Amino acid sequence: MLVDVETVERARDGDAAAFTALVNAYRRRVLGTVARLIGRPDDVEDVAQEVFMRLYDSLGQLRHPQIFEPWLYRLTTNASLDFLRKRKRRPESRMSDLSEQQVLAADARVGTESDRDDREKKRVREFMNELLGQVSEQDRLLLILKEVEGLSLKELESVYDVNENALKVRLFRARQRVLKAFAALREQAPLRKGAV
Amino acid sequence: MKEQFDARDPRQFDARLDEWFSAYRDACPQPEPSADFMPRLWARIENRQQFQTVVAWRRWAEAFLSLAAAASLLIVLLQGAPQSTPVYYHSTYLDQLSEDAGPERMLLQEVALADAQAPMPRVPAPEVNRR
Repeated sequence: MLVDVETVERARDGDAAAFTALVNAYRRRVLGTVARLIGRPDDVEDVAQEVFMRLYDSLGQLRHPQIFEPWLYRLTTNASLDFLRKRKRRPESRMSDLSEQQVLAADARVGTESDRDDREKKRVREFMNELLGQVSEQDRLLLILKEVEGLSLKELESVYDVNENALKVRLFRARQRVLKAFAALREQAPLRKGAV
Repeated sequence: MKEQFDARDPRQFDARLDEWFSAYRDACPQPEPSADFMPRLWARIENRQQFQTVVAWRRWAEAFLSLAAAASLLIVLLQGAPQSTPVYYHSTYLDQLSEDAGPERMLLQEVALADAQAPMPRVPAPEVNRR
């Protein structure tokens, strides 16, 4: 944990300074998670603030401060899902419409290694957003929490309130759907398939 | 990410998907909170609390109004309900007293009449000692 249990307990008991300390400790992590979950940079801070407002409202219900982090992840996931449901829109960033030849030509023109690195990262983000945009929000969030945020199955149990076996099944099925989505994307855009 | 692989092979795909997720993790920029993140958060929390207080008061007021309306309706219904005819006394207290004493007087009169009509019992005359 990024803060000690006493700080969580004091925040739970209404100590404003302790709550501020909690937010300061976790805001970067929450912002990062929200950014990956919703994929809309402009709304990341608003959703993160909503997460902390929900935390402020519900902290009194936290019986065991030791499970504060999974609790916060659950709030983050729910707030992000609510945001996505309201917007009913997929992440803004999409795979570039450039053909592979155009991308390669553009790559060749890149001057510095840093530019090349940035471009590659951008392509990775666009490709993954495109791929994960093909599956349901539930699948996408689960996969991001597990594979990108690096939550263990034990932590995911607390987030989703289901047992480990059920989570394994969900993860397996989510990966299967990503595989199908990838195959469909390849069929739709055969020109791009060499890029992945 | 340009290496070819057979997506129909689940093992190859799983391994590749893990690589993509890892690359995605590294490629995602870490957003920085703005300078006014905390002040804005506290302002929003306070606004929400004020709003919740107003909403709570409003609910109380609505509940009170509903109760008052229900009580008023109940009173109106009770007022309009048919009631048993009340007993009104049109005579004075003394008239009433004399009316109430009527049967007793009649009884006394009847007794007196009966006494008058009945033959008087003969009482033997006391013997005079003539000695």
